[in-house]
Amino acid sequence: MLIPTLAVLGVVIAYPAVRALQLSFTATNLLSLSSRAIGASNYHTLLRDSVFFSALRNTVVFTFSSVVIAAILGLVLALILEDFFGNFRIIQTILLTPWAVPVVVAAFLFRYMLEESGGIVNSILLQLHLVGHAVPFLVSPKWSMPSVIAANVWEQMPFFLLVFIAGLKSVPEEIVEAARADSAGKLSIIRYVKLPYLKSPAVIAILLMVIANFNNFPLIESMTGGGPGISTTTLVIYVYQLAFSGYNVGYASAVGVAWLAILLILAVGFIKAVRMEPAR
Amino acid sequence: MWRDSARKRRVSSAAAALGAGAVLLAACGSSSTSSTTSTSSATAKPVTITFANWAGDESNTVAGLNAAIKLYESENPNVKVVSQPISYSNIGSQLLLEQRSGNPPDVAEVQGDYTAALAYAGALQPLSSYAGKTFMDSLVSQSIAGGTYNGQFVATPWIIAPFGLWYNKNILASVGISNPPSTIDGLLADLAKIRAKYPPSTGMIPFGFDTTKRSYGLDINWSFMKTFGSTPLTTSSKQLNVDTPQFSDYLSFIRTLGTKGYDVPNQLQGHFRSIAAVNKVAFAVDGPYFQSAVQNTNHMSNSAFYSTFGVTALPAGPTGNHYTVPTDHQLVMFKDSKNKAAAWNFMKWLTTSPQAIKSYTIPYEDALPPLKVADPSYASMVDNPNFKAYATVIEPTVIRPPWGPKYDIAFPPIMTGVESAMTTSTPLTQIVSTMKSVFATALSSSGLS
Repeated sequence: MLIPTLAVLGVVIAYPAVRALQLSFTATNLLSLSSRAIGASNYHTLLRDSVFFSALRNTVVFTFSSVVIAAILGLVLALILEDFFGNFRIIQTILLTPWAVPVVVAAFLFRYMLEESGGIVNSILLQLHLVGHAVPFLVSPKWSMPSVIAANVWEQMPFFLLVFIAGLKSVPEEIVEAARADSAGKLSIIRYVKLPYLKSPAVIAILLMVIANFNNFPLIESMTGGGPGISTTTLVIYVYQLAFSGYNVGYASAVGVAWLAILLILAVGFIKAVRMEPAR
Repeated sequence: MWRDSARKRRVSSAAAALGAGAVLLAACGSSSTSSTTSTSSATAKPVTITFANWAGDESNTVAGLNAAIKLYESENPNVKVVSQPISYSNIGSQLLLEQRSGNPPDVAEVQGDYTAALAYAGALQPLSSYAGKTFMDSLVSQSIAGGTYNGQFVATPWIIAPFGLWYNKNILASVGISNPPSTIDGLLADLAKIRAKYPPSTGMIPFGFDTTKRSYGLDINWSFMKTFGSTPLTTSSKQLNVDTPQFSDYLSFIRTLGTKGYDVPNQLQGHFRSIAAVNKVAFAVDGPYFQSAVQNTNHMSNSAFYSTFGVTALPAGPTGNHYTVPTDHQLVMFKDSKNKAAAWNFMKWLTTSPQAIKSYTIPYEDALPPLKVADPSYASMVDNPNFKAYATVIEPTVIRPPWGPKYDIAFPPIMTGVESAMTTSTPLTQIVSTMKSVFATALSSSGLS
């Protein structure tokens, strides 16, 4: 029964991972038919590659900023929406719609909204006299990363909203009533009753979104292409550029293996954190 | 910082192109170019050939290309042409992957660095045995050179398309500029006047200039690097030659474009075309297809377009020379094609037949065909000021960058440095140093020497 599943997993997951590891120890260029073994040379190069470390830093900033902001927003909105009933539940549906928008569409949406000339965001900021001149959201190294993070948060907040709405439904009503009977305020109920129940789903959701955002390619590629300069170049963008612009498959594989190693360390850390939680 | 100098016409082997252009515009009808040949005699049984291209991916050319393919199929009823649209930015890597996977198309539209990469990879079928003397003699000689790698003719020219300096006559007139600039200093002075009259809040972009991290981005910038006297790379380079005063002068020019708000960094050239169509771009560096892209957006007539937009050679820098880089579209046949005869007939038809030139090359690409002599049936179509500018003023300034594997390694660090110069205040010496070290790292890991 397990063999077909293992076979599919082997082809889809194991083979590419093993092949990438193998390629990382070679000098393989798509322009040349030959591929020669070079030991750990690609990894030595990686250790002195300034672009790799910039991309790693950008990946960490992009991932953790997006996840933390989206999680907090999702939590706050879930707590607010929890008390909505009747026709007001439509607001919940509206807030979930960004999740249904394809990532590339969302990327272009934000790209056009944030344009320096003619973008609606700058138009509003200028008309309200909040800024003296248009903000170069996507063409300035200072603003480009916050801009892609903002687009990513809009795209991914609904996932956390859904997780926390489901998590809040699992809070036993009698415990909440008991807390109210003890004259606990709303904030105390949230902090001491509801949040502990949300911890496990939050950890799983955060782990999933950290992995997803480490691999987030279409949003950044569509909005900025990793630029200006390398201000929004993350590891996945860098690997793509190495492999498909520079045709340097061997070195791209080494960067990919390093990236996989980092993700595995993060995943193990999170799983240990979940396992250390006392069972309820 | 840079000296103003008299405009000089670059004397080069492109004199053949100049002569060809003059003949083209004179509508010489003394002899006609090679005519369509049916493939029905070449291949009796039905044949399907696959044609990978970006023309089918772009809104201003897709209808024209599909119509041209239908026309070819009607003249060659036993041949079916299956178009595979692939975006311009992806077609180079896509074709290489298809070839390495053993399923390349029969024919592909390529250009510049893409052609060089495919030729280096040994993916292309040499064409001399198919082309023959008559065909080769009909072509502009410079276009033959552009399709020849390691002594083998592997890419037939399809569309002649060097970069030119497009300008909006009405915007220039509104600030008292009657003629486009011929020097870098003149360009900067004009940009200052335009920016003074049209601040950023008006949405006006004085200079639409691609600085993206693509080989095409470096192609555009290469002309300007050369006119500043800099040659950052050759095919045999083991390091970037960017720590020179000439390259620093070029980076200073780029920094001025950014700090004064004359250009928008990290934008594809296509981004500026749609904005130019609504008269919000004063100058743009682009190929002749700028016209069809603009007209596709604003549906301007040809006469209205010619009265609004003009084109001239890119401005000359301290060297006093004008340079441009060709974005000539070429057609290649893959070595693994199983329908080589049919593929060649299709390529030849697209390149030389009056039907293809009248129905696609001129109206949809707004470009010159690569032929020495024009057929009378379309000579009047190229009798307009912009075609004349391309043939007589721009084409003679063509130079070719060192396309190939090292160019693919070099363009990311060079264009990253260009964008850094434009968008940050990082010292130029530091930018240059980073360019060199990143290139060295990439070269050492590439497996190429």
